[in-house]
Amino acid sequence: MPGTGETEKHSVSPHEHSTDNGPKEEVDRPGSDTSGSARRRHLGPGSPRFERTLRELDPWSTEWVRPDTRYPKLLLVNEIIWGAVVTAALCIPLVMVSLGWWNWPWLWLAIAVPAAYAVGVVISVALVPRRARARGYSERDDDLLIRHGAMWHKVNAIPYGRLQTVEVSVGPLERRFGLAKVELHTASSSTDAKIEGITAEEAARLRHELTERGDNRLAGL
Amino acid sequence: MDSQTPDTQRWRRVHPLSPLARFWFAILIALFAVGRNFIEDIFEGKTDAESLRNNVVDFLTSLNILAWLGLTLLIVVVLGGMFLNWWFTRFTVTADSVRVRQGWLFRTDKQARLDRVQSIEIFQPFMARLVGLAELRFDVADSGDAALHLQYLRKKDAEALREQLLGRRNAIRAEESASTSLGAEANSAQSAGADQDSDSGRHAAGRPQAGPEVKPHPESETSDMNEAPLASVGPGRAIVSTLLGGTGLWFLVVLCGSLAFGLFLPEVGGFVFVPAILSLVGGVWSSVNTGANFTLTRTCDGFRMRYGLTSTRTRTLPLGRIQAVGIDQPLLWRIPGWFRVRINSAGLGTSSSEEQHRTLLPVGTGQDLMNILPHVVETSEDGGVDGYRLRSALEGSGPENGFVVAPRRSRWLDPFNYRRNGYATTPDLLLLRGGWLRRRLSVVPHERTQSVALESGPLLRRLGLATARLDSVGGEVSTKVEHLATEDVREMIREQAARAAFARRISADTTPGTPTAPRTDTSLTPSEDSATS
Repeated sequence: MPGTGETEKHSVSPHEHSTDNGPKEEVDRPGSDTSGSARRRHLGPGSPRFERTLRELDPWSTEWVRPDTRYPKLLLVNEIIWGAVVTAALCIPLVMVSLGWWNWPWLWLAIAVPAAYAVGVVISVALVPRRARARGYSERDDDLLIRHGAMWHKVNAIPYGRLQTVEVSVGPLERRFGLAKVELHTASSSTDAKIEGITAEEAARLRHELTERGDNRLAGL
Repeated sequence: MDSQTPDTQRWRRVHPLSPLARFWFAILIALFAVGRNFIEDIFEGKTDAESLRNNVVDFLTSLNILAWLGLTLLIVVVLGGMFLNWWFTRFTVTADSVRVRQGWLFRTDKQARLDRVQSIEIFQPFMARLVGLAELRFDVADSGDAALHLQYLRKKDAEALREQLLGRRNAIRAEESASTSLGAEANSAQSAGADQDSDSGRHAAGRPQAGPEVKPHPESETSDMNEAPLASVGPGRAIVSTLLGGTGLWFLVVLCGSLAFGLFLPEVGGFVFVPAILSLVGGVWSSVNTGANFTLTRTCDGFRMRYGLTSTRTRTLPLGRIQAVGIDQPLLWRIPGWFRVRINSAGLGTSSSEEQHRTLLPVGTGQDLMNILPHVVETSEDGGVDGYRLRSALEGSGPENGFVVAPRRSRWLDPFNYRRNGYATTPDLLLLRGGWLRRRLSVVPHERTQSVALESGPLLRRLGLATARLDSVGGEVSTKVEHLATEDVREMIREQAARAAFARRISADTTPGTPTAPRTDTSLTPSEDSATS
C-alpha cells in the first residue's frame, strides 16, 4: 500500500520555497464547500471519561482539530482489509495440516495463531473510534501540536522553525475517502509527526501554511 | 568567486607509495598464494639452505614457458594496475573547494565545498604509518560517511594541507557571515550579485584582501598540535576502562563459564567458548585500539581529537555542531571515578562503527571532565551550569540540585532509580538524569531542542505517570525522562517549548539571515549571553 500512494515533499528552505511558490500544487477546491460552510466535518468529542483522559495528558489544554468524520471509516476499512489478508495468510498452516500435507504445526497451534490474531483485529477494530478521536492537531503561535494514540498516547510539539520538510501523501484508500496525510520532518529522525485523516484541502492548506511559517521562523538545527 | 591563484589550480598527485599502502593486504595474499610451498616448509622446519634451494630449483624447473609468461604477465598487470591507480589519482585545491579525481576505467570526480566541510580527519592505517603516509578524510554535514578521501600523502604534507584548508574554510565562512549579516541589515531583498555582496562585506569588515589565504583566526595559523590537551588517555587507562566497562564484564562471565564447563563437564570441554572468547578479545582489542593514545585539544574551530594505537586518527569537531552532551558512568567506573562524554551531532547515526564519532571523551577523570565541560556547556554565570554542580547532579538523587524527580508511585516501574529519573533546568540548559547502575546525565541547550513530546501508555496512565521526550539530532545521548508524574511532565513540556522558542528567537537575532550557517565560534558567545540574562 505505501508504494502505490503518491507523496509530495515540500522542503522548508528559503531557496526552494521561492522557486516553488507558484500555483504548482494548488489543490482544486470544489466550490466553496470547505470548512466555511456551517456543517462541522470534524469528529466530535467522545465519552466524557475519554475526553478527561485526553485533557489530562494535554500540556496546553488547547483546542484540537480532530480528524474528518470519514477518518474512522478509512481506519475501519484499512483494519479489515489488512486483518483479513494477514489472517488468511496465517490460516495456510491450518489448511495444510488439516489436509494432511504438513504434519508439523500441531493442529491446536495452527488454529490458535490465526484465532489470536483475529481476536486482536477485532479488538483493534473496536478501538477504531477511540483511536480516531485521539488524533488531532493544533496550531499554536510557535509550534504545531500533534497527538495520537488511544492506548499509547503521545502529544508532540514541533516548533515551526524546526521543520525541514512537510510531506503530503495520499494512498489509494485515502483518495477514495478524499483524505490525506501530512508528515512533518525535523532534523531529528526520531520525530514522528503525522497528521492523518484530514481532507485534501486541509492538507494542502497545512502544507502551505507550515512551510510559510517554517520560512519565517527558520532556525535550522 | 575569489580570484584563483595559479598554484591552487594545479592538479597534484598523491604519494607514489600510496598503492602499496592501499593494497598491501591484497599483495600479501598474492605473495602468500605464490609462495605457499616455501612458507609451509619453513613452518615444517625445513629451513636449511639445501632444502630451500631444492625447493626453488624444483619450483623454477617445474614451470614451463607458458607458466613463466603467465607469471610475468600477472606481475606486470599488478604493477601496472598499481601504477595506473597512482597516476590517475589526482587532487586539486581551489579557492573554495577540494576536488579528487580517481580511476582509469571507472573515473570518479568528487568535489567538496570547503565551507561545507565539517571536519578534516587525518587517518593513518597500520601499513600507511609504517611508510609514513597519512590519509585525509573530509566530513561533510549530513553524511554519515566521509565525503572525500585523499589517500595517501606524506604525514607532514597531510598536516600542512589540513591546516591550510581549515584556515581557508574559516576565511570563507567568516566572509559569508560578514556579507550575509551586512546584507540582512541593509536589504536582503536584492538576491542578485552575491559576489558584490561578499566583496562589500569584506570591505566593511575591514579585512585585508589577501585572497583565499585570509585567516580570520590568527591562532589557526600556528599549528595547534603543540597546544596543551584538555584531556588525554594513555593505553593503560584505555585497557582498564574497557575491562571495567561492559565488555570486560562479559569477558569475565564467558571466561568463568568456560572454566566451569572445563571443570565440571570435561567431555564437552571449554572449547565451545573459544569463538565467544575470541570475539570478546577482538572487541576489547578494537576498543583499546581506538581508545588509547587519545588526546583532546581545543582549537579555534572546535575540538581536535587524536586517537588510535596502531592507526592514528585525527578528527575535528566544530563546536556549533554539538546538539546534546551526555555524561555517563558504568558501574565499575565509579571505583576509579571515571566518566565518558558523548555528544549528539548532526549527521551521526547510531551504528556501532560510529562510536568514536559520537564520543567526545572515551574515558576521563573528574578533572578531565571539569576541563572539558566549560567548552561544551555554558557555565553558570552565563545561564548554564558549572562542572561541579553538573557532577553532583549526575551522582545525586532526589530533588536536590533543583531536580524534579519521579514520584514515589513510580517505584513500581523503577524500583531502584525512580529517585534518579528527573530533570532540571537552567536559563540555557535542560539537564536530564537517569540510570541506576549506569549513571547518566544529558545536557541539551534549549536552543537545540527539536521537538518535545509527552508519552503515556495504559500502565503509566493508571499510575498517573508519563514520559517526556525531547527529539535530538543524531547520536545516542538519551534525551528523555521516564515515568515522571503526568502533571510534572505537562509542565515541563509546556515550559520547555516556551524556553526553546525563546532561545531560538535570541539566536535568530544574533545571527540574522544565516540560519543554516554553522556557527564557527563557540556557543558561548558573550553577545548571546548578555541577551539571555
